[in-house]
Amino acid sequence: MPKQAASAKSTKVSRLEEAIREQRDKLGQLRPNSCYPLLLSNTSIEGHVVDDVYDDLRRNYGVGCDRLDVIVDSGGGDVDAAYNLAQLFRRYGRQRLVFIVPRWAKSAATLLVCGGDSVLMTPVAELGPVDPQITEMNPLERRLEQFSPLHIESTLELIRDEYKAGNKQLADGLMQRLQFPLTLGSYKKSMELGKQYLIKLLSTRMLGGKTHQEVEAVAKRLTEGYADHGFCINLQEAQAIGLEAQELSTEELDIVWEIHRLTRQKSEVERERRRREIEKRIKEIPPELIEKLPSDLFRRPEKQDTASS
Amino acid sequence: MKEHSFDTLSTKIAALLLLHEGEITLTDIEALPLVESQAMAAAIAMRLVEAFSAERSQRKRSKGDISFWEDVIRLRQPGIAPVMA
Repeated sequence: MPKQAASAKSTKVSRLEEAIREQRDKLGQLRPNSCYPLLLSNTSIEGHVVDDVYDDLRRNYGVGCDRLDVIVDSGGGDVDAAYNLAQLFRRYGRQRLVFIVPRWAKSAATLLVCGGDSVLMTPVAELGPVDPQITEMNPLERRLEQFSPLHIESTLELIRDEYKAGNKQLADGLMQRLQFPLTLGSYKKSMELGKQYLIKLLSTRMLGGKTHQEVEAVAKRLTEGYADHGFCINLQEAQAIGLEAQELSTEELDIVWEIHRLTRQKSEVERERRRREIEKRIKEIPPELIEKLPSDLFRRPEKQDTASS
Repeated sequence: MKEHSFDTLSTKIAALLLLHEGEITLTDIEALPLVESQAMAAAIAMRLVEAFSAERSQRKRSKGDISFWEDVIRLRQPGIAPVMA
């Protein structure tokens, strides 16, 4: 890509970042809280993000501040990292911690927002179930399959039914395709982790006035109560299950939505720049490198399971 | 259960870029020809991590007071293809 064009694109990104900064400051004038935008888009919440956020908070607010708003745009990530991040934000929102969701705080990001005193949402904001996701390669059809530990029980039930119906051959075949029992057990256990973290977070801030049973019911709903990991928990649903969720006021909503639109624009500009660069990079690949590709790039490796939320 | 299909050619190109440069970002994968969606890019990224036993981490890519990140897949030993079982 010519230097001049790259520079123009980078200036455009800088302008968009500046516009996001201006909107954040505008929100800061409307609300009595400090404001930290956690705009991850499709980047996972993982350990490196926790490190960087901690650096940012230390730089911006020193050892802590009393009231903090966190604008969250995230599809999720690692549930341990999300819990750690929630605890970190609490140190910087000692009196009041509010999470603001313009569009997405799914999966592990839902656990994160449950760490606040309340969550403010736009009419199209979505939280999501906190059941972990297991990803596995289907070698025959060259695709990745993603499932929840919730599906283990229904699969076992299906096999049981086939045995009961006398379809032994079919049931045996299904049994052979199942994972090692210890692996299945660990998948099921991973659901407990999300629930434990939710109970710890909810019972100490957002639902601090509720009984343990009430908090547990909300945590259970978020981890086991939805048929699909992508379920849209919008404002009404969040309120219905007992979360302290409210809609943003009109003026705040305008600003928060503008931040969302600017963030999307920025991602698109960056993706377009990358598209131009990638063509050049592909041409630079030495042809002999193709011999070095793993022979089983499209086959099932021996150890292939990953769990994330 | 959700299924994420990945295009074979795009996955090969992504794997070659990873081998050649030692790392590839999720944004790079999204920018590859034939990659139609973020879900497809995510599926390719997951496959690369598995096939190369690569490390996946997040890199901050902004210098201002608002942080932005991107996912990076890195070979643990750049330039060396893994010995697969």
